Amino acid sequence: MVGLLALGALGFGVVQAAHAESRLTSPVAVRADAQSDAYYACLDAQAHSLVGPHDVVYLGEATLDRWVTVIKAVGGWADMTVHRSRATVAIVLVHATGGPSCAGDVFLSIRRRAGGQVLMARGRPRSR
Amino acid sequence: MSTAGAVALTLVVLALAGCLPTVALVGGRLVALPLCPLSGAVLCALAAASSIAVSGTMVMWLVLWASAAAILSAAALWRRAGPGAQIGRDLRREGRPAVLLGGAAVAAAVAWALETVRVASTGFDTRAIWLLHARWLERGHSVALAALRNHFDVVSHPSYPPLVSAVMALSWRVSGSGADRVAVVTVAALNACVLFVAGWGIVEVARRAATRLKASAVSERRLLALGVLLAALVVLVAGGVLGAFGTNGYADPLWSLAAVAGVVYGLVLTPSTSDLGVVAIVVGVAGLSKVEGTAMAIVLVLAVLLRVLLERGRAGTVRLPLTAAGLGLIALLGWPLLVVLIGVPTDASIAGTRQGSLWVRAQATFHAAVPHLHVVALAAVIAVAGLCFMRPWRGRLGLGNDLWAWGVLSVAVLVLGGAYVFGPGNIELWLATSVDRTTIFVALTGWWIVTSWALCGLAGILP
Repeated sequence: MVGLLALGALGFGVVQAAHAESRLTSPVAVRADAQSDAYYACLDAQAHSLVGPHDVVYLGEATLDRWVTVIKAVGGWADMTVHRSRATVAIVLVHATGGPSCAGDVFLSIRRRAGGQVLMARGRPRSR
Repeated sequence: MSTAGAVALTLVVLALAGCLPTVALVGGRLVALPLCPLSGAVLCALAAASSIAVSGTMVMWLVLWASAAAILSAAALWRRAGPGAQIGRDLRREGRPAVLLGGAAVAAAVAWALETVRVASTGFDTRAIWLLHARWLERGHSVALAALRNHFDVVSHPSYPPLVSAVMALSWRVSGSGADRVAVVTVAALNACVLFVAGWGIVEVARRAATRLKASAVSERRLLALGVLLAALVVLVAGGVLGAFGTNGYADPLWSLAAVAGVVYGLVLTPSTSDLGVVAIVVGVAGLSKVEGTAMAIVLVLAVLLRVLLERGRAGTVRLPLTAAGLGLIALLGWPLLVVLIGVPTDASIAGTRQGSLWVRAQATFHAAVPHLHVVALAAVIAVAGLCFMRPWRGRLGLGNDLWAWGVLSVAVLVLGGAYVFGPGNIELWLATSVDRTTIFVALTGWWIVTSWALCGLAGILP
């Protein structure tokens, strides 16, 4: 009796697992995953077009979710600082309505040249 | 190199690094095969910690750690009386066609359970934590140390243990590919290894039962078939519990499955020295994969030690388990200590202000966790029925008292639930973004308890 009850529970669990599996491999799920990958690949390319290998980066993000998004895109390779005075460039992720973007998001960089001139640049997606 | 080729090459490197320690700890059993890359992953995590703490690259330290472990293991094997004969006996026993066929069936179930690996999926935390840390580790001591100390990166939980990121970084170094996909699939492959180990524990229970019952050859084969069937079923169920997390690079499945394997080999089976070797490896994997895993690994070490002391409580045999457990605890506390010593900023999930009263947080935690833990109620009903009607039979089959597994499950509920209730921040946001994976260990333990009773019950009605 105990064995059959447990076996029945396992059978039910397998059916549930099969449902979960088919949900995760559905075209909708596959598309969502592909979009996420493409989004971060695009942000990575934009950030690389703005930040050089010797740059020290300051982030101008005000909210935690945008902060995390930017960290995910540049945190693995860029040298970052919490001190604005140490930074050579500041970057910020903004929504853009026109021009090439990553699902509507664009990186902007702000640099101060030696003469006090402030330069602003927009990230470029990887050339195809 | 293709993703499959890169992952296979990484697994081979990990298996080579972990091969001799695994044979020294576990012997020539079938379960040693998937344990080899897992031992290698533990050495890889130690290498990452050494690179951060001292100097040099992770790969250099992996070579040093693997060499040291191989020399110590070879010496231990040499000192044992007739190690070759023992391993030869293991291989003959494990190389029987019925056992190999059973292994193939469980492996097929594992492949089906993690079939979602076909979908190129990278989880939120995988990008925000594990891949990020892997990029730091890949660039060597100075970059990794600076990044871990950087207050800028505190949102990526720099204090989390290094095993998953270390293996990811190794996959890039070994394959020459820097692709996220290679790193994510390598972690999925480790999940597959540890899922096989946990599933095979059920087959081991059936095989030991056949030996204890002095079953005839036919009955032994039937018990083996029953064990394989139940192991395959619980592995398939585990695939559903893991969901997307099994193949999208999260660390939660790895520590949870490793801890479940620890429960099976240390607390469900009557553990032999070889089983305790399995426990040592999987506890290392759990403890070096995530903070929750470290907590549960410590609980497991203490629970298995207590059981061994109670069951082998003669003066002469107490010193070795105590020493092994003591060394295990020191090793598990090594990473948290290192994090303090090198000045990693306090994790945002540990420090901070608590929002809401304890009662409100406890209620929110209960309501969020219950939908993921229905199996615990089911397991409780089955376990009570089993204790009422089948307790002597369970003893005859050689299974440990069910209360050991329930004890660990209860502590897990208290530790994980307590973190939510007494921890900082907004409880609703925290639960919404994590409860589906922090409950994996408890849910899987529930399913393995159900399976152990299924084996007990069905073994009793086998002809």
